Amino acid sequence: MPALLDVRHLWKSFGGVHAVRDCSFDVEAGRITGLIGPNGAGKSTAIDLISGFLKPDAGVIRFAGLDVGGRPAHRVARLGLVRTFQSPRVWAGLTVMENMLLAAPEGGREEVWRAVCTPARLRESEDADRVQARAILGEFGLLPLKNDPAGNLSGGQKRLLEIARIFQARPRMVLMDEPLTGVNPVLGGRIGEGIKTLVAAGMTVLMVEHNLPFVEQVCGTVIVMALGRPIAHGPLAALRSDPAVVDAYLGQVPARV
Amino acid sequence: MHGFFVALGFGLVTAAILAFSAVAFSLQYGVSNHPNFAHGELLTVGAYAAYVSQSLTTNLLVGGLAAAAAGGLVAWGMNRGIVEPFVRARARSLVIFIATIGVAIIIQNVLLAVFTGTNVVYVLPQAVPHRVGPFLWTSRDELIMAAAAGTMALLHLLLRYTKFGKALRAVADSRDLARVSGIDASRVIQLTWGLAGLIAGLGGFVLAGRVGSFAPSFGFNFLLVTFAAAIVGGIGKPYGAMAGALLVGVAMETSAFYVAADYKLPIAFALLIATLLVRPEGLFTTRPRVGGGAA
Amino acid sequence: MINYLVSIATQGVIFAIFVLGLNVRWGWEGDLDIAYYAFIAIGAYIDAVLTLPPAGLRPPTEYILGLRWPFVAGALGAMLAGGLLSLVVGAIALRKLRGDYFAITTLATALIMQAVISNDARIFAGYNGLYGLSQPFNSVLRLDPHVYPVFYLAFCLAVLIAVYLFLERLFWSPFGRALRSVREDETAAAAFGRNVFALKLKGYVIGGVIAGLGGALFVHFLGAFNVSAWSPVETLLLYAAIFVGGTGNNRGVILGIFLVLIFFQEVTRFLPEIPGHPDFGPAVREILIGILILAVLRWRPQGILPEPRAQDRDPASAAGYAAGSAVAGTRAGG
Repeated sequence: MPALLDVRHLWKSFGGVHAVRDCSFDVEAGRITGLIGPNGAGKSTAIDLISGFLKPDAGVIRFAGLDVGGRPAHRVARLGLVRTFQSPRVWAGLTVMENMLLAAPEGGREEVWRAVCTPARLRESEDADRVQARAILGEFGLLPLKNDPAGNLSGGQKRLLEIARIFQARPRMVLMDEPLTGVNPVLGGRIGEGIKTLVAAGMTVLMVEHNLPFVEQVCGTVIVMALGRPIAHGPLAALRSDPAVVDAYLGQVPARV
Repeated sequence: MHGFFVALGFGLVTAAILAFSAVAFSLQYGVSNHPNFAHGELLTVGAYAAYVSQSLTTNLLVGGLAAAAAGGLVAWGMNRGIVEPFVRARARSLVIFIATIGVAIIIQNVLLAVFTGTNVVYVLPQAVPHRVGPFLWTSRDELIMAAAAGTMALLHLLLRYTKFGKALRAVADSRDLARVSGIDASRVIQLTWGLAGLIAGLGGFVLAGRVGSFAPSFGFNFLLVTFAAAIVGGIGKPYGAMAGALLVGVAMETSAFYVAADYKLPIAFALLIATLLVRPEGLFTTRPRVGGGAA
Repeated sequence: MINYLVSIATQGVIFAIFVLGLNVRWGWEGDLDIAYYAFIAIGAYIDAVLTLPPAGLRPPTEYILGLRWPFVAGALGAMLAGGLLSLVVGAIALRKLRGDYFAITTLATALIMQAVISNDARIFAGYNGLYGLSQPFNSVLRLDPHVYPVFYLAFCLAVLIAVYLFLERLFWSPFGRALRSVREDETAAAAFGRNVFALKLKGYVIGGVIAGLGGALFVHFLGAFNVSAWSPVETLLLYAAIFVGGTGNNRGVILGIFLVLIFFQEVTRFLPEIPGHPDFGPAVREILIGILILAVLRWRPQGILPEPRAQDRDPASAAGYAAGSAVAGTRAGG
């Protein structure tokens, strides 16, 4: 099966420090792949580079066969590659429903002239989105909150909203940067379930996460990064005994399974 | 060519005056991290204080001290009375910036109500220009440059060799790190505002002496030029501000040699805009800003 | 007395138009534009030089154009000028500048323009300014000098209503929502496919077009226009109106401008006249505006009328909604 995301020889440095060095890996479609590694390994930088928030110094990033390296973030998103951030980023001053409606930039719907000249048609096309949004919010238990400002939600609810929003957008691939940050550990299972439903719906997930038990539960396979490049690739259980991995973590990998 | 050097000479004087204002601004911004839109008012207050003291005694030293004291006091009050409460209320940085605009309007208009809008005259003695090498300066100009050099030297000593100076640099570098090292960051910030106000007040004093007459909007008109020098030099860096003042001051005056003098200010503003767009960290910083984090 | 009221009301209506345009930039977009008055001024100037007779007929004033066009053409020209200037300034300043630097850049740009216009007297008559503007539509209507101001008030009111309806429609549209998402969180907006710069620029230009239109109405109301109108202080009054009335809320800002204008009109009326201090009254007025801004920002930054919230009305029956929440209820929480 051809890789959906293909990264080749990626380099990025900041002020002389190499955050990502000669990094190459690929991600298969239809799976949840974890991206783990000790602090400073370059994981978040890699996500920033792939999603277009940083420009690579060198290297190629291919998504669904298209060369996306160096393209601005909004272009990458429109190609079907969406991401979340270390802290849940919802549009706090807008309602939960508005957050959902903003999930997918429908071609041409946001033009000024359309707002002025064809408001009725806009409302019609939005109605379909609203129906879908209500269904998704219902699945995630957020429907009663649909008219509340997203800023009023708890950390865990915001994460769920992020996932619901992704569901609404139906991208091909999602990059998640530490989805458990800012979430009450009790909700971890909920979030994990949410991410699994994304894949069940046909999306691909690449997830940076530090919480290894969570990674084990959710990810079919992981890529281990250290010092700016991948050092191992495979199911986490198998990698626990890999000397290179243990070495990189300097004992950070918990002994028990 | 000769005219060029005369213009260059003027540029050095302008740079000297600008240095007071820009360095003061950079000191305050370095520790507070939001620009004080009422900074120009510190110069105005200093100028009016010198004017008032002139009616009591023509002693220049007293005038300068009065200006510095007034500037320092008002700056300290601005921080304690307005900025700090907003910071404690967790206001957005932009909101604090707008608040300083409000303060600027209030101070300017208080001065307007008290002193009226007509220019007050502030004349210093000995304004005869004489030749110094290729430059044409009055003893007033020379005094201004000497005062600027002296103040910068004192500031340098303060920053490098005193406990307060080191604490100031620590807080400017990283407030959290400074706190963790046991420094009382709020106290340092309060004192820094006072220091910045002192220097700015002095700047108002020398600027008033240079132009000879002024009105309440005097400092405010100088504000953007100050921004230009501070930003060109690297915002928040006092030493950079000195370099920035030199560059902007000289650019303004020498450009007047080629273009009409009315375009001096627009030239400074154009420099400001260009720097913000092309190299916002300033022309004189060596390290480019580190973006994103490695994880 | 009536004349005075009509005059105040007209000024209020025109300022309300200004404030609606500024609200797009500050309320919807979150951009602090201290130089908004520059766009009002360019609209005023362009309308003036389009509707005035040629400069050659009135020496020693000099200005460009002088086409003696009717008011409507002048107003359209003003809107175009406001839009074009916004395009230029926005293209420069909106790219990557954070809030306060953006504000400073807009101010610097406006001051450069002011310097150029004042110093080159051939463009808009320099420091003397332009005067002798015609009364819109009056060559056709031929109204009595007592009646005309009432007509003009009604006309401006009609324009205000049109602008208000336009902006309301825009606010609730996908464009308005996208713009507000940029204000809330640019990074997330980009991560979901929004071209942040393009959206901001569009909002900025819309604000500029409205400012230009307001400027055209204003210059015919005043009959003259001068460089001192470029003062940033005038913009402060508009911001005070937005803060007091309600950032982002169209109705709120209109309420705000009338409150602020009336408040300041009334208060300054009761101030004592101090001999030798002719600026005392205006100075106190400005001090009060400053204090008002500080107070509102500190204790009620969202203003009197908060930004209206979009309510999703579910056409499905209430029963359906209840059933949905029953299911969600077992999984809700967190």
